[in-house]
Amino acid sequence: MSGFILCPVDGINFSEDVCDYGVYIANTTNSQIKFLNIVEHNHNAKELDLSGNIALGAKDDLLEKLTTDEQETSKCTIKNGKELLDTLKQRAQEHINTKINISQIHGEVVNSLIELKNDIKIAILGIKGQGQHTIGENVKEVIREVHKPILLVNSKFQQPKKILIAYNGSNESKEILKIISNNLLFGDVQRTIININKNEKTSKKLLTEAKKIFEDKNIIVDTVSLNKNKEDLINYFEENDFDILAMGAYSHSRVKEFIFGSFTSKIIENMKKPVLLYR
Amino acid sequence: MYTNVKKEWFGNIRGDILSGLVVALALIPEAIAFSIIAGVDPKVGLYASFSMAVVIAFAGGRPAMISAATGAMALVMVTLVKEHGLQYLLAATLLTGAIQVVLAYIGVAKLMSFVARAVVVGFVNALAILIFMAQLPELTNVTWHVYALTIVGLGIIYLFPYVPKIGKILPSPLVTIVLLTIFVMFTGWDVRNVGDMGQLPDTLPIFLWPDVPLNLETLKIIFPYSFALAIVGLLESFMTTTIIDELTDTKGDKNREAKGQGIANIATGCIGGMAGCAMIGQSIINVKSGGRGRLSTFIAGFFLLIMVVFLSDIISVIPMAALVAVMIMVSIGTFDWGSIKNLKTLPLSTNIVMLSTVAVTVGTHNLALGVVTGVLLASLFFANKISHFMYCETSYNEDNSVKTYKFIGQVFFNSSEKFYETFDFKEVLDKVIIDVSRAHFWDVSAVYALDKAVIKLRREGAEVEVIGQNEATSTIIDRFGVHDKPEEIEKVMGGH
Repeated sequence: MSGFILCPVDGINFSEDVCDYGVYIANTTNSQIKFLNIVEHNHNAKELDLSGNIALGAKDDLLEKLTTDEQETSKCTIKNGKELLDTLKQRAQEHINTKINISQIHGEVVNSLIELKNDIKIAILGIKGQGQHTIGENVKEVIREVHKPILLVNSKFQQPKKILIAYNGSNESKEILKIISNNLLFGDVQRTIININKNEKTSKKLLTEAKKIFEDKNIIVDTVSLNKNKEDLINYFEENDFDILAMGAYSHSRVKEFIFGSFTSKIIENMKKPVLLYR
Repeated sequence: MYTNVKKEWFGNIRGDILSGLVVALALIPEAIAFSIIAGVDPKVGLYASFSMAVVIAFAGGRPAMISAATGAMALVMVTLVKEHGLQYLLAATLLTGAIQVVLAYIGVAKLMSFVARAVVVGFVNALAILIFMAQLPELTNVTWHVYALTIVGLGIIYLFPYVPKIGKILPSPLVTIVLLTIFVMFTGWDVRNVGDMGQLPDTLPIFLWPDVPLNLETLKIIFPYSFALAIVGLLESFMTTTIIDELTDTKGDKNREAKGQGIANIATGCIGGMAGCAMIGQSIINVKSGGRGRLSTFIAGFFLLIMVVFLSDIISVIPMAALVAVMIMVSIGTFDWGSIKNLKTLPLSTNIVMLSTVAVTVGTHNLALGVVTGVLLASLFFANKISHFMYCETSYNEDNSVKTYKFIGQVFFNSSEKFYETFDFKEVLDKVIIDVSRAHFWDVSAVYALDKAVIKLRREGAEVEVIGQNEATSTIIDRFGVHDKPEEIEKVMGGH
């Protein structure tokens, strides 16, 4: 799988750590990295004017006023974005062996990423930390629509030593095994494949097929079968000091998700460490 | 997709609710005034404004645009109401919606590109003038009281926003209406009020199939009106879409809007409302008040109905003079002031197109006719301009017996005469070479002009050779798709 590593950054959510993870993966996979700042425009009115009258030339005056207001805000956003990109480029430069690109575009996060999806290997997104939020619509949409591995960064950068890969036999989770085994995304780390299943036999079967994917590439993996609820995934992750969780995401339809809630969203919201997702 | 829907509806809740309320208040006097223009009871316009706004909030293609009963549509239906009555108007409204849906499916939004900017400006100005003129009956043959109330009303509308603190929180048209109503009630001045103009709604609207015979005779009566209504409605809606696009720096979907207008008109016809469309003035007010999403349009329609149904007693005592003041404001606000300032700097042809659109519309009270006139004029001017893009280089051989005419540029109906006259038929020559390899023949008129020239030259005794006729005529085909390819365009433009 070719393509570059895309790091959309906004300066709010762990942008520096996104940068560090990006650099780390760029080095382990020998790919280019791109820092992208998306200048989103909010055209909602800033101050209240409910006077409700329109005078001669009302349209022109209103257009002029809105343009002036938004120009100021946009200029400021663009300036901040540029500074952020420059800072991150410098930060990355010290540790990276590949090429760094920076770019700033106007647009809206989800659509901009969808447009880029064919050129990227992995996207790294900063999100708010654990317990601070319910997962944003934008992040959900990106995971649903981009169809490339997405690493969600929700904490300070730590060089990954142990990664946990959740496998349940679904297409999404099989895909994530392939992605990790093909690219060695996180370099030389200890890899554990976990299957949570009440049925021991099925679990064993699934783990054997998962292990084979790695063994075919001469990569060593451990396997764990857990006879618990799937919510215990996080507990297992934390008890054993893993650094990154990898899993397939949102295998259900939006309607189903709306009614039953989503396991993926629940995991993302409760994880204290980064999550790699694929759909 | 899902996030879009959510954003369009709930991306700006506070702004949308407040602006929706402002618009709802502003819609009441307008809906009443436009009902009066059309010659129907105020409730017909009020129900229409409710259903247009609520349905378009869901079905429209341009969030934050306000649709309701409008002056443009009211003007088209005047004669129908006068000659055949309300039921035929309701039937015409249903048919208007159906026509608009059909037009939407055949991609009517594309045709908007034929409507030049000058025509749009002309339409807007004509509309403003017509709204103003429609107020004149309220201002003629009346006592000085009405003039006094109207002038005071306008004063409040334009000055109240300068009052510190409350000036920007309370809609000044509402303040005007409230103050004038209270004043008239206290002084007991005998002026006309809304209650005198016809029935106001006292119940929620109900489903009502128009009471007309379903036969060809009915269709013959309503079709011309429905067609004009459909066109005018779509035109004003598309123009308003463009204005809101510009103001909010976002893009509306014109084809979806066309479909939405159709659906909204069908719904409106079914609950006893008159045909409506998007409103330029109200949509500007909505954006100015902070409205950006679909919710603002919905709130406007919803609250309009609530207020009208429960406050109909209060509404009926509003003096007409207050309404007239509000409508004069709307007409002033709709007028494109910039277009008057630009008259001096714009080319004469553009000004002629704009002013003709205004003149024809105001003269006929039919916006569709005005727009057709504008579009035709603009096309003619354009053809005329393009016809200048043709010239001819001539050369002779050593003994001046062979002359070569080399034509470069665009030959079509408008320049074919010029093409023909370029030939000097008086000259005595052995041979004439006509090189059209760098000319482009757009239509049959061009080919005919060439044939005519060749025949005349031959009759006068010269040998004629035409070079490059195939290249010149190769694009006289009506398959426009060909011209979209860069290499084809290069071939055509190679002449310059």
